[in-house]
Amino acid sequence: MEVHVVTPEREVWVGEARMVVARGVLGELGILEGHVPLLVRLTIGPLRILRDGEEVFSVVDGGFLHVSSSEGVTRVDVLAPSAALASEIDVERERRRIAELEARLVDKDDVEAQTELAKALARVNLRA
Amino acid sequence: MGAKLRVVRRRIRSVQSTMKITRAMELIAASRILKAQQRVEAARPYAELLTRAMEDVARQTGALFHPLLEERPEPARVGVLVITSDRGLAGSYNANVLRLAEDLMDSVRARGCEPVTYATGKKGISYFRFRGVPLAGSWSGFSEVPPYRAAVEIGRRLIADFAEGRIDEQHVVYTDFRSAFTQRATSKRFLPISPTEVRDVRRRPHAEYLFEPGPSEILDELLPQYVITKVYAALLESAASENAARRRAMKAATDNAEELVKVLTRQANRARQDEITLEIMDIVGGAEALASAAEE
Repeated sequence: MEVHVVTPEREVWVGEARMVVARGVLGELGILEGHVPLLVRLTIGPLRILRDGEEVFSVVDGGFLHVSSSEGVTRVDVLAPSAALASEIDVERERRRIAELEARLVDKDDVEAQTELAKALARVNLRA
Repeated sequence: MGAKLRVVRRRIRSVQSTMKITRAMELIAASRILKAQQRVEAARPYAELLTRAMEDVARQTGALFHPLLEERPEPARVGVLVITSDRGLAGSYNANVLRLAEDLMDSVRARGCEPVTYATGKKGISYFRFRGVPLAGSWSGFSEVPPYRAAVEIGRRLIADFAEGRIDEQHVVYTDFRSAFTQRATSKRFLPISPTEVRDVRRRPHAEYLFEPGPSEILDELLPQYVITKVYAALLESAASENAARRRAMKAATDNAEELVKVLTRQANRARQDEITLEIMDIVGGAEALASAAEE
């Protein structure tokens, strides 16, 4: 099964995998070889790519998961507005960001800050 | 030292220091072309995969229905987004884009519609301001390295203006980066999205296909994303073109400066030679005067 994780700015991860676990708007999904074609909206959250004896952890900030197949090969495309592999996450920076955003949310309700907070939390949780 | 020689030497120094600046700018632009090209390349996979996803939706639902895909029967106001640079010293880069934009606006008026101008880049913004053209939107400060955030902001604004009926069509004028030597000012219609862009009739619909949530909700997200991605691509292409144009302009300026230094050096040498000749003649004249005085 071929997996592509892309953002508008770059290709985050490309490779072969056994299973992909993602968080869709209607719940968690696991995609295996031979899955029916699928187009799902994702929420901000972890994306796990299981390979033979290895697991790639990453976080996506929403977007889509698209499963298609051609000539018997299943293909999973993850299109996210932004994404990061676990190895790329700077936990200290994200923690500071969380503190900053929580301070901003104390006195007023700010949708943008809430989204940013969800992104930062997803990153820290991935590394926890 | 004679006045003439002093003036020429001063000019040589000034031309040489200008040359240092233009050469530095040439080298900086050259390295930025490469970076901009890499960013264009890096953005390509996402655009391709997004188009594939939209093709799937189109295939599954037979025909796509969405406000962003609908041609308005009698367009009255046509948006034109013009992508220019923040800084000058890029040869005819901005002039070419602005000329094409003016042509496009003329043809919009010829169709009996009113053009609505949007601009990115300080050069374009001041061009329209100077001519008293009102800007429906303006963005600047990122023309050389456009961030994706800027594309999101611009894209959302264009989509909102289109969806809420402030404009009935949206065109974009930018510079297409064909190679380091060729860049073309280009105009494209971004809205409404032409169905031929997303329709692939070769493959048949799949019997079992899952959408979560439904296809129309998915389309609500996919289509704006598609427009934003196209805006981002136009910004990146323009950034690469801007740097290519600047490199070329600065190379020409450096070459001209080199030529000028050669000419001025010749002038300085001649001035110096004239001075020496004059001094020798003075000395010879003086010596002769003394010699003839002694003889008497």
